[in-house]
Parts: sequence; structure tokens; C-alpha cells
Amino acid sequence: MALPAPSPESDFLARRRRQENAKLAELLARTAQRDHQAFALLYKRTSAKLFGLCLRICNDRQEAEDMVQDAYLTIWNKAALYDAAKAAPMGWLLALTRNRAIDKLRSAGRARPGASLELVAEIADDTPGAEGDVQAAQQGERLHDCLRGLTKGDAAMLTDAYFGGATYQQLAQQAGRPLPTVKSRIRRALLRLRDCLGERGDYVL
Amino acid sequence: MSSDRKDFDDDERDLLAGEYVLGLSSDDERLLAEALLASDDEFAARVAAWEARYQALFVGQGEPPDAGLWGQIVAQIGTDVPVVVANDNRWWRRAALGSFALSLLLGGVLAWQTVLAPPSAPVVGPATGAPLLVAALSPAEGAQAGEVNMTASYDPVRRELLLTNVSVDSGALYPELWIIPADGKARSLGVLARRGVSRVAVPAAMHGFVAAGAKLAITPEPAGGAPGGVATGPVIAIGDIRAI
Repeated sequence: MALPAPSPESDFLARRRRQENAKLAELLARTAQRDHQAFALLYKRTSAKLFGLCLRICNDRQEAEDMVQDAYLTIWNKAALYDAAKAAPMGWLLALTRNRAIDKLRSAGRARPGASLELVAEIADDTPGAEGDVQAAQQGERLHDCLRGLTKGDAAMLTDAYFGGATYQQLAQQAGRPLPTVKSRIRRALLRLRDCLGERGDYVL
Repeated sequence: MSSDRKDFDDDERDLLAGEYVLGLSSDDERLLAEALLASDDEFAARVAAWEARYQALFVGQGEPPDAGLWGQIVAQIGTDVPVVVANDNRWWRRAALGSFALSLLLGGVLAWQTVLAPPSAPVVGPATGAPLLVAALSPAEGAQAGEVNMTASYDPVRRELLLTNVSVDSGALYPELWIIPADGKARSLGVLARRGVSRVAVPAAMHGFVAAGAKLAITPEPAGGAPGGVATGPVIAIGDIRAI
């Protein structure tokens, strides 16, 4: 599969993302060696995103704090598992946090009914690149446009899956639609997102 | 025609990857995706692209938690960890694990649940510039893929192995740690705490064994460790040391 040639705009963002990734990967490696200072720096650089994720997952500030605390304890214990050759550091941290949070919700027998629509509206308003960075603002606009290209129902289902760990079974039940119908809707939406956002996945994170 | 076929393959692979990250895969699809993640760099890149897309769409910049949270985290990670010293009488005895345990060793697989992405900058160790040595130990047989019980990292300055999250079930017996270097013979590194973290001092004669490719294994043994330096219990957790 040939990837499209990078534009100058995406080159700059890609370079910046690589620098940030290298820094985070180094902090994770030092955390694995029980370097408290590195762990503190890692927390400083990543806690807003991880806490934001937890807030979106459980919608309750106190619970989100417990969740993110649990995430960082897991990171402290499992930093040695991070393999820089295989995963981008922020992606690894977010996936770890999300998986633990969803497991917790599942074992408590909880879903997040109805929260998805507010969440979608909230996400559409959240513009990255607030530092007046032109390229980042342009990326942000592209994300907006692609998100707005989804129907509300599709966006709600995608957020339910991402944040709530919903299965196709649950999504179909909630939508009151047959499972095959829901499946093809989601799949069409995913392909549209992919085409809208581009193949490389080079975004400001 | 051929470009239609190519588009179809692209779409199928992207959907497999996209649904996998969302947790929407069927059991078969998930197994296929995990197998591809481990072996197919191009598929791994698609999974990483989906992670990036979902993060960009759903995570945004986030929000800082309350200022007091960090203090709570620090209070829980603690600093004092008791050191385990291997029984120096035993290091020279060549302990060979039983053939059943050895076959588990050779078939041992380490499974991950991490998202794979295109290679980024290599990790360099802090002080010396040498790569870090770590291992993740998982149950030796019949375990769910991705279930890891403990991690080990090597402090080359203190010559200590730090094992965290020790949650191996050794029953009424005690978990003993073995290192198996290239020659396939297991040497004892001592008995670990049954739960929590252990720091294991590596005897001078075994410093060279702690290298990428060597294996760490755990067997349940009576108090004081395996008599005669030969493992009596089955291998209950095992992992490869690798450099990162």
C-alpha cells in the first residue's frame, strides 16, 4: 500500500509529533527504571489528556479522578511493557487508560445511556491547536468537518463504542435496529471517516 | 478490475483494524486482527492510524485533574522495596528443569495487548546510553492471550532485577525465580515475595546471563527454595528478556 506523499503542512506536524513521541517514550523508559522524576514529568505532560478521556468515559469528576489515578498506578507498574518500536506512547497510554476504565464499567455492570449525544456536541466544539498555530487550526477544522460528516446517530454509536465499550449487540439494542443494519452503518461511517481524514493518521494530538 | 480488488482489500483491512480498535470485532475477527498485528507491519500501521483518528476525534486536549491528585499517586507508589538476595550456595549448581517444563519453555509465547504503530525513535537508556533490559512474564500454559502478571526490569548499576506486580499463584509454596541463558540451563536467582514487588540482587557470576534472549521463569518451591538447586515445581510464569 503506497502512502500519499506528505504535504509541507503535514511534514511540520509529523516532525513535531515525532519529537513529542520521542520525549514521552524516553520518560516511559525511565519510569520503568523507577525514575520518580521521569514519572512526574510524564504525568505533567499526559495527565490532561488521560483525565479528559476518563471524564468522557464516566461523566463524574470524582469517578474520573479515581479512574485516572488507577491508570497512572498501572502505568507506573507496567511502564516496562511499553515497546517504542511497536506503539506511539500517547496511544499506548490512552489505550491502557481506556481499557481499564471500560473493564471497570463492565464489571460494575454499567453502560452510558444517552450521554453520547451531548458528548458528540462537546467533541464538535473542542478545537485543538488553541495556541494560534495555523497548521494545527487547519487540522482542527478538518477534524470538525469530518465529524460533522457523520450523522448524529452514527456519531453517537461510535462514541458509545469508543468510550462505553458497547458491542454491536448493545448498539443494535439501543438503536432498536437489526444488528446487520447497525453493522453496515458503522462500517460505512468508518470508511467515510477514513477517506475524510486521510490514510496516514498524522494528527495533532 | 485489479484496482477494484485492491480497494476491496484495503477496505476490508481498514474495517478489520478500525473495528478492532473500537472493540467491535467478533471473536474470530479479533483473533485475526491480533495475529496480523504481531506479524504484519502494514496492518499494524492501519491499526495505529485508527487509534490516531479516534484520539483526534474523541479525546482532544483534555482537562487537567485537581492539583492534589499527583500527591495521592505518589503516596501509593512508595519507594522502599525489600531486596531479595539469591542463596549464593546454589548459583553454581546447574539446575535443569524437567523435560515437560522445558517444552513449555520452548513453546512459551508472550502476548501483548498494545496498539502497534509505525516505528518511531528508538529508546535509549538514561545514564549509560545502553539499551534497557526488561521482561514481561506471563502464565506458562493455558493462559488467556494478553494476560501478563508481572514485569521485570534490570538495573545494571545496582545489578538488581526489579519485579513488579508479582501476582503469581504458587499455592502454599513460594515462587522461585530462575534465569535461563543461552545454554538452556536454569540458575536460581532466589525466592520472591508472594505478592507485590521484589528486588533481586544478581550474583556477580550471573551478571552476564542477564541479556536479551535469556528467559526468566518462576516455579513454586518449598520454603528456602528448591532443594539442591534443581526446580521441583512446574514453570508457572515465563518471559524473554529483551532490550528496549
